[in-house]
Amino acid sequence: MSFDCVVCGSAVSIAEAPEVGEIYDCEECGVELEVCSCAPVKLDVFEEEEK
Amino acid sequence: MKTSPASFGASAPAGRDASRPGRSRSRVSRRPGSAEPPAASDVSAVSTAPAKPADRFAAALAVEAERYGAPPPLTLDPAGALSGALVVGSQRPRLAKALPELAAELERCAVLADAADPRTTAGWSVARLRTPLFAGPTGDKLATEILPGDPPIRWLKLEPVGGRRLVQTVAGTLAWAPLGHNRALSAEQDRQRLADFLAGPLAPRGSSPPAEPAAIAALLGEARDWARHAIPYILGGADPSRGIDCSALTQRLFQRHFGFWLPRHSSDQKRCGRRIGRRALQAGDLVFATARARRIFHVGLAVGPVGGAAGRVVHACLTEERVVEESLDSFFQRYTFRAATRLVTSPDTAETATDSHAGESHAGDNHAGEIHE
Repeated sequence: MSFDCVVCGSAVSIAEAPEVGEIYDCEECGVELEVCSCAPVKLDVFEEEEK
Repeated sequence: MKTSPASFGASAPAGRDASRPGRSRSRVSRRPGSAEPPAASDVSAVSTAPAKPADRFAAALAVEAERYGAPPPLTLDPAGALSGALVVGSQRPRLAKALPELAAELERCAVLADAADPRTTAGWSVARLRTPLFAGPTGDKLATEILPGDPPIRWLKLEPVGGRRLVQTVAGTLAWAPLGHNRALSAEQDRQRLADFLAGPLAPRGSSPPAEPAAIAALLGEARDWARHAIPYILGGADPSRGIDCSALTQRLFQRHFGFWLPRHSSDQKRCGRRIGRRALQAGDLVFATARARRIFHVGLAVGPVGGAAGRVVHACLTEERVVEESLDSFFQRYTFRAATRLVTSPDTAETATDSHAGESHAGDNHAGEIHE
């Protein structure tokens, strides 16, 4: 399935049945998106910590 | 291309590394930058007069210097003309946002991380010894290491800072190399190196090509050996005989057994291969996770019978300070699952419904501009 990137609006391809916590990359703007909920599917920007 | 040593001289702030092991280089480099808004208590102190272009330019370069250890070699003359180059392509939109009047000129700037652009390479070198590549122009934080036998590293056309030079590995990692540690190459070798550098080979994107079961078995066998030998965990380390980190483990294993280079950082590695679901994990797949209490990407190699379901994982564990093998159940008690990818497919694998993922293909390569961080 496809989901619009919350940053740039480009289509992001995700699994038909994603898991909460899964991370997907927007190939257009490079942002990482986290699956926050599955019903309905909701993605938000994932902020990685500095190592 | 005009460069100005004064743009990034010795006063460039240390700190934010150009290459942060285990950390997404491309995520940070592609993220649209934006200046932090002033805190509410500071609003009354904020000047309402628009900042001068030169001041905005200096401020924008300082932000980039904080990210990468040195500002891009750009200069803005008093007439407002821009010259020089960007370090990575993602700087273009960030700088254009800060300086919209320069957007058109920024489009024409070379990008030093673009190896195919003849304006960007200052030279090449090969490692005679294990060579540390640092996260910044100063400090001891290791970004990665290059080993004897590794492909040459490319020197970017950026003035050295703090006795180090910004370089790029074949996998695309940008990091700071000590000056004078490696042997420079001749002009003919230079041409050949560029051709080899651009040819990769790099990890597949959007697909997982077939592989011989024996090759996959050898990959798994070596991974398990590393766990049995409890190879130490070293952040930035890439030498299995001395110590490695999580993304170096997977990078080195796949390079040794399949000949291609994964990106150096775990977050970038998850963009390679074909995305699969957690329940479809098989031996040889990569599993990406973050520690429960942290949000730092970690990667491990799923192990099990070739072509069969993976029940265990080998990974270079920060908390255990060594390479370990454990069950996936145990692993997921400490880590949150984030992604799984398949880089190579055993012909014995039966594709299942849980494998299905409308994985995007990626036509670009690691060389085209993006920085490892």
